[in-house]
Amino acid sequence: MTPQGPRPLPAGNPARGRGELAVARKPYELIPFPQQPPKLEHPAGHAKFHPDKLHGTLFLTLTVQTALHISTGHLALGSDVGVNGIRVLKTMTTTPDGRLKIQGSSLKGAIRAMYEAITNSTLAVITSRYKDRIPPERQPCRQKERLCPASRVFGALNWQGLVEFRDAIATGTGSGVGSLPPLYRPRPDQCKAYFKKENGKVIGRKFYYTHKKALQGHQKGTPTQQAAQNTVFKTQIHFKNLTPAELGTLFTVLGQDPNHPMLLKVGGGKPVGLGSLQVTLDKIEQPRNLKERYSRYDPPEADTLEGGRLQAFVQEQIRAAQGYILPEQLKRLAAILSPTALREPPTGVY
Amino acid sequence: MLSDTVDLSPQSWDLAHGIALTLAKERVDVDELSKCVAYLRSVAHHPDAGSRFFRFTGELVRETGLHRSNETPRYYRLIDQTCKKYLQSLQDRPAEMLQILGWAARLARYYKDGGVPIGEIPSPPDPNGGRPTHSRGGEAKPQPEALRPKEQPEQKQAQPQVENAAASTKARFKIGQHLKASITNIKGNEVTFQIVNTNIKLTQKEPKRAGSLTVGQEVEVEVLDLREDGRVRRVRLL
Repeated sequence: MTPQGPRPLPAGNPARGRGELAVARKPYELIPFPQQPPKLEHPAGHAKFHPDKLHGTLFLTLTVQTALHISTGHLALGSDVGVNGIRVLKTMTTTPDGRLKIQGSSLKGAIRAMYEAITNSTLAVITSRYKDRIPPERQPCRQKERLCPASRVFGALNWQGLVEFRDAIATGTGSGVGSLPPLYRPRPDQCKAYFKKENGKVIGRKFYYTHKKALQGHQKGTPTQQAAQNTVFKTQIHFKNLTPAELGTLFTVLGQDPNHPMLLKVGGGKPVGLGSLQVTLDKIEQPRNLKERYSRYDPPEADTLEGGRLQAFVQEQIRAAQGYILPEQLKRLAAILSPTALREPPTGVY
Repeated sequence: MLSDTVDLSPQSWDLAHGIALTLAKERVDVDELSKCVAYLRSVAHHPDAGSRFFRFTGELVRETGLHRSNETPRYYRLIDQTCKKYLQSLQDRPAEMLQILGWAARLARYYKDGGVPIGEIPSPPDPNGGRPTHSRGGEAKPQPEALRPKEQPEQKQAQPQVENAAASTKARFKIGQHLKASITNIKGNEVTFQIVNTNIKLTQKEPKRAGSLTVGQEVEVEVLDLREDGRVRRVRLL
């Protein structure tokens, strides 16, 4: 039985008016789908490394800006996870040596959602219950020969993507603990703001704002194992057969475009400020000569891009993504996920 | 993660049915029981898994932050009470507890969907070591054929190592532990040791030492191997 929470207010509307109980403005925004249908093309595939495409590995550092919790669905005693003073809590995934872990699939989902929003792409996953309310051109790609921009890079049904995400592992051991305030389920069926008035179809994609801090529920909240602020995770993304525009879009999503810096929002508690991650690109391994690269165990130094060469390469790819990224969508997404224009998390019942 | 599996005895099946029937009758959410099973599975390799499990179920009752509705505290309270009632005596045998709880969760789901059968709920084991009794003296509920346990080959084996299970389960042993034992019988090179202050008897071959030992002699032995339920399987004469 789920307690009845207040109905979500339409995005963009101020808090309920004078004299009434002030319900916090809901901390999300819907980015509308583009007017034009997505351009479906044949994907590059995996059969060979195309010489005119880009292949390599991104080495990333993820720094937690506001506490992060990605639930395993498993409960444990506080003492089991090295947290004293907490009886029972919801756990996060950890490595065997006790380091916190962000599953690669969680990262991929967050990054794909942003990539979809700033390119003219279809949705990746939909709930069958709302299938009729998704515009036909935004239904997930079904034919593996005709894929939208995001599906060509991240994969689609029966089609493996061109990027692979490793789990992000914390550099230190230990974890924090927090109390997740009660959150109620999304109620799209009760909120007209999700659907167009004229045809009842879904308006667009929903993104939660970045916040200054993660709200804690204290006594009333659910005790959770969390990655505390400033926890550092390391991860890698492998890519192959990407065009400069596709790689440039990936860099933009990772917040590497100085004109549009963005944070990632991952895990639970996004409405109350949890889950903001700052991405830093440490280096890129990009083999110039594939035959030579795969004839030896360690890559040659010349194949690793760092410092100035790395920045120049990243900016080059971002420039190549001009025209591929939808400027209006990017502007709106960057405003929602801005690392500088942070908002206060909503107080009271969400 | 615990990789051991155990075959359930008829008594254990009674416990699984007892837990399942109790919780199904009280309309307890089986998913909440499954969370407890998942917890036991995650700590089953620890030596104190049983006591950790009961601490976990107790803390679930007290931790209000995990309650999602007005019913949740009642579910946790009933799970805690029922598990303690039926499984406290098996605290030192997490593998068996896990099997029983796993089946209890499956059976509870089955009873929830198919209706709780009319009849007696098997009672928890007699604290004095006897078999589980039945609430009002009725016959145990017949088990479906598919759920009936297989014959346990270990029970059928000839017993060169004579043990008194009731007594042995009360004692806790560790591998490497040194114990005092008396020699109760010597037959050829087979020597029977009885652990002092218990009814545990172990008969094993001592080809090099049998000739120098006498019946009634007190010796010291080292525990070399334990059974899954914590009983002593093999010792070494020191």
